[in-house]
Amino acid sequence: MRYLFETIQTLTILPVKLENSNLHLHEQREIYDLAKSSIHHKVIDLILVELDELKQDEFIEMLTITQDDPSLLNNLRSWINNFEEKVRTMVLEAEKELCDLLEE
Amino acid sequence: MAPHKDNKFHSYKLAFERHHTRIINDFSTKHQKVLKKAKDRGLHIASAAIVLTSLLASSPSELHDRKYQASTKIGAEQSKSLETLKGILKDKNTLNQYEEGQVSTILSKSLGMNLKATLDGNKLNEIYGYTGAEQHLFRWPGDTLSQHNLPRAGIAPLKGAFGYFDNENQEKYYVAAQLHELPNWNTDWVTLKPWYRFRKVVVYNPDNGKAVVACIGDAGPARWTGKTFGGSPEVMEHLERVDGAQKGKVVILFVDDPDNQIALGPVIDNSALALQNK
Repeated sequence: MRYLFETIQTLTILPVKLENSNLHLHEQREIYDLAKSSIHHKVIDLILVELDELKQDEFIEMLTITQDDPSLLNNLRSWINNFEEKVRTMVLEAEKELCDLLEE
Repeated sequence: MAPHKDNKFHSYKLAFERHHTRIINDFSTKHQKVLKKAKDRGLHIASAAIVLTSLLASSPSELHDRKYQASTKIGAEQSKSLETLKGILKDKNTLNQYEEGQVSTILSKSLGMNLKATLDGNKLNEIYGYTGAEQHLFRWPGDTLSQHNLPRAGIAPLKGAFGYFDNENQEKYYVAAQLHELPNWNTDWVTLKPWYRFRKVVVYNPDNGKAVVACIGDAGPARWTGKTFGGSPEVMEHLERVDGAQKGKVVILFVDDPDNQIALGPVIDNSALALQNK
């Protein structure tokens, strides 16, 4: 499944680590899906924290209509300072945290 | 499967699940108010947190280019069948075995294909459910997003559950199915995985009658997303299915096509099979 954050920053390190993990492809896929969901929630959390209550409602409504609507991202860019940079940083940090789970 | 691989996967899965649960719990607590508002308004934000708050997933290469011509002749019998189909699917979240049989029979006749809910003793966990939008998948080594249609959908950085595709059309018209939800997947995946790999299916949108011959190209989505299937960008585009509040359900059935006669791609002009009143 495709998430909003992937239009800004895709995962780059975790997929490689999974491919090198010797897990079967469907196992890699299952873990990858869990990872994406975790990151999705962190990104939505980041967005909600930055918005006031009214904008939160507007954001949720737009997200549920379709996350493919370009106006959703345009709105977020105008509502949140350095929106894309914040998302990128969040995704990269979250990805690193998840990669550490594979090291344990 | 080698024992050490099995332990490794389960150990990683446990770690990722624990991490996921922690994040969801924190998210649900922190944003309880906005999640409740969303739920009360019937909005689904593809969030596991919504579920918590409510308590509170070919076959061989396509060699033939022959397109299947759907039957567009609607007589009295066909109209009656479509009404029956409408009644079966109306307000349903899941179908029982008898209903699956009825749906398979009606759509087989309507589309002129041998469609089945169970094939060779194998089935999907559901044949009727919401479908989510998927990204493109790498078709072969060196494949890039720029070589795909509909690049806005993006491309997954990881290969699909079945690896690289045998040909372009398989990725173009792929669906993701919840194979991991099959009761015997964990025990029998060694034999099941090759069977489901690029298995030919028909995806039917009852709202507009559109249908696509596709193949199972990936595993997913997770159950908590509220979706049962995933569709490639091309599949979603043809079916006119969107991810979000306007989402709707599709029917997915196996195509019994042992001689590989039916090409992947849109089924031609079957708007007469639309069940939704216009």
